[in-house]
Amino acid sequence: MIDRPTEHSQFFELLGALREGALTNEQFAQLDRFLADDPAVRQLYVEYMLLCAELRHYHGMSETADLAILPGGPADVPPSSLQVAAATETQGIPTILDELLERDRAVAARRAAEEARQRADAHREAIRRAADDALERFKEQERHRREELAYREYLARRRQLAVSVFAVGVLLVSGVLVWVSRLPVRTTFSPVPATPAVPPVVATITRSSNAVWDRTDVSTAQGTALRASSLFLMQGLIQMVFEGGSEVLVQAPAVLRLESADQVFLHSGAVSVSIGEDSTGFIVRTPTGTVVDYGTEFGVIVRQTGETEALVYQGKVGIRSGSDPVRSVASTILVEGQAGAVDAAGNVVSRRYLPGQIVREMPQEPAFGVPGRRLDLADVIGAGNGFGTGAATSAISPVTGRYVMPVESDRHGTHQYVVVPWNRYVDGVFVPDGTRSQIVSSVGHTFADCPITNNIYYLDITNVGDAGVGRQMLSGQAYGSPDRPCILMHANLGITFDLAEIASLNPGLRIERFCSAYGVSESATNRPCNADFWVLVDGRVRFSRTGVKVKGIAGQIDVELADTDRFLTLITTDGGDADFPAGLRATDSDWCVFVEPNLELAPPAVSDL
Amino acid sequence: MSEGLPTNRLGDMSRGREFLRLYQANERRIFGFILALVPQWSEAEDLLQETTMTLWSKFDTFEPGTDFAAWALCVARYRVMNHRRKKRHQHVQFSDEVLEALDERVRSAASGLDTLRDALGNCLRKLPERDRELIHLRYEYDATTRSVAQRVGRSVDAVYKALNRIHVQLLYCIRRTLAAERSA
Repeated sequence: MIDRPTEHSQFFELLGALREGALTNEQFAQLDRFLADDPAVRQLYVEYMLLCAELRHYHGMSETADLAILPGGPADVPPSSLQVAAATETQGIPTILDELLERDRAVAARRAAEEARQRADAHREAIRRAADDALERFKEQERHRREELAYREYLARRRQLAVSVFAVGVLLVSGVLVWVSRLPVRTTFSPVPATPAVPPVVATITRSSNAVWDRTDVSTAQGTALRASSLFLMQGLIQMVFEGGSEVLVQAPAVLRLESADQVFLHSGAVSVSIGEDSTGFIVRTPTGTVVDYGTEFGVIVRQTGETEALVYQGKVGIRSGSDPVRSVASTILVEGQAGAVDAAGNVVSRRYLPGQIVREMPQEPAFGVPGRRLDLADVIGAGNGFGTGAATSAISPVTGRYVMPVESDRHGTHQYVVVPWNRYVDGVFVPDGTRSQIVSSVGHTFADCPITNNIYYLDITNVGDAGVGRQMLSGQAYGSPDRPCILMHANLGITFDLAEIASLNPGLRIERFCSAYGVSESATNRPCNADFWVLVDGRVRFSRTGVKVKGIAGQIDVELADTDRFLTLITTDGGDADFPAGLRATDSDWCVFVEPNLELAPPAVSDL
Repeated sequence: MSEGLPTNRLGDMSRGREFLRLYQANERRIFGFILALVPQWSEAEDLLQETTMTLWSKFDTFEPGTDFAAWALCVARYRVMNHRRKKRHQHVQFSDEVLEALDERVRSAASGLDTLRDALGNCLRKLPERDRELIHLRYEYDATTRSVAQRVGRSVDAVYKALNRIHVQLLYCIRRTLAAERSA
């Protein structure tokens, strides 16, 4: 609809001043408000600026077009001369208006003469476009189909991994024997057949950790050139630098397509991106959204639900609905310390900023958690994602659910199950006491066999590190380091992990089992201990060991998990001792630990596919 | 040899010609995009030059047959964002929200630049001779409203107001022309 100029007189005055470079700061702020408030005004502004740009071309810069047809024109000069060409362009000889109008008339005449031919061309073009569109749709469907097939092949291969490793070993030994037996014989190689055209190199691997691609023809070694292609990182971490200068760290399991020197399509999984000074920028497309950097460091997660989440560590990013980096229905800008998402329905929504969800740096030493294979639950308590992003010597209070530094002091429980909203992997915490029905999940699962305790706890639920209570000893081994993690749950503590959330960030994998060693740490006092250990799944007891009265002895827990299992609960209780009048509590010396507590990740069984 | 240039392509003249063909077909679109986001004229000119150099130095990564304009506007946007970061303490800028909204709007509008150009030609013809002359003088290289005023012997204020009026006239003339074409 065309409105009237008088409706925007103040706005046009601002544009006039803007055009002449005479806008004051206050006027600029006013212009910004106009543009922010009214889409119609934005449209006017854009048209006005394009008009100015066109007038620049029509008049002052009309030499530009002639540059292209100079004998031995710019195409033949060294590219550095483009700078000169561009400078020349801004100093072009002005075109006389009459000449311009004459040229316009001539163009109009030519157009009339060519009108019939253009109509025919347009008809042919329409047919060609329709065919191209159909071809593009077909290609897209084909690409999806191939990626789906590749993924299924990986799942099948993963199950055969153990057999393959053995087979490769046998082959290697056989190969060496054959080679040795034929050593004096020279082999004549047949000519190498011509290789087909390959896609361009778009990135180079700079580091990797426990990394395994689903394909054997792509190395994970440093310096490996990666071509524009689809890849599935089954396990570990890969850091790569793109040709455009951006650094990307991929966390398994991740299905991605390297699209160009500055663009990747992330089908599922998580990446963190760091934009260098000389970078031309970076775009992460996903099935539901597009994340565009504005010179920054950020992370992107594509969950199993299809949701795309972006987290900004530094600078700013734009997050838009849809995979098209240019057009979108909804968008927003996120700044440092913010997170946002495009949900499965295409809405752009805000999310709590939880930076520990994505690995941002390669591990400095051998870490216990390995993306795609083993998730460290002690790291989760430290606000991590199970792969080393959490903080050691940190804890969760069982009565407030807050992230705290561990404190040694007798305190009473509240008989409440407390949800933990700041940690997506932890559903809730509590101080167990069977005097009342003990709730162990946010959906109301109860621990029917919960023993009666004194409802007192001495320490918060702790991810052990060097500081604070320090490393814990079990079977003569110290625990509480990145490669030997440890959860310290001094008696009368309970924590429930949300298996569904964990599965959501590990798309394509299933949580096969919970494994851990347990015992009462030798680090405790030399007074006697008496404690109980419990592991529940959806409120049902799957493991228990009551009355542990010897310190330093490690037992093993191995609980198989099904896809339908939602909550995993770890509990320690005080063994039912009485509190002594002298001040010793039933919890005294009950330094209960879960060491190397982990969830084993594995691809789904082929029969489930 | 300049650093960052695609050296392996230096001898490939057809590649150079291809770049120039694509660049020249889209140069106005790129400049219009930059000017809408950075409305300071001289800074927009500098950014166009930077963008041109980046496009050329990265042209090896451009896949023939894909959308050059979309690629070029992405590169231009990064130059604009870098520029905003560097200049954020020197002068006021559009807010991020406005920039984001303008980004989308100008991409869409710039795709119809060819029809806008035709309409502009018609609208220029409809202007009175005196107004055409003013526009012509104002958009000469290095011209200012003051220099135009001196050449036509009128006050700066009068020329300034006249230029404002003519720009708005042209804008609405183009709008009417395009609307008529759409409804035809």
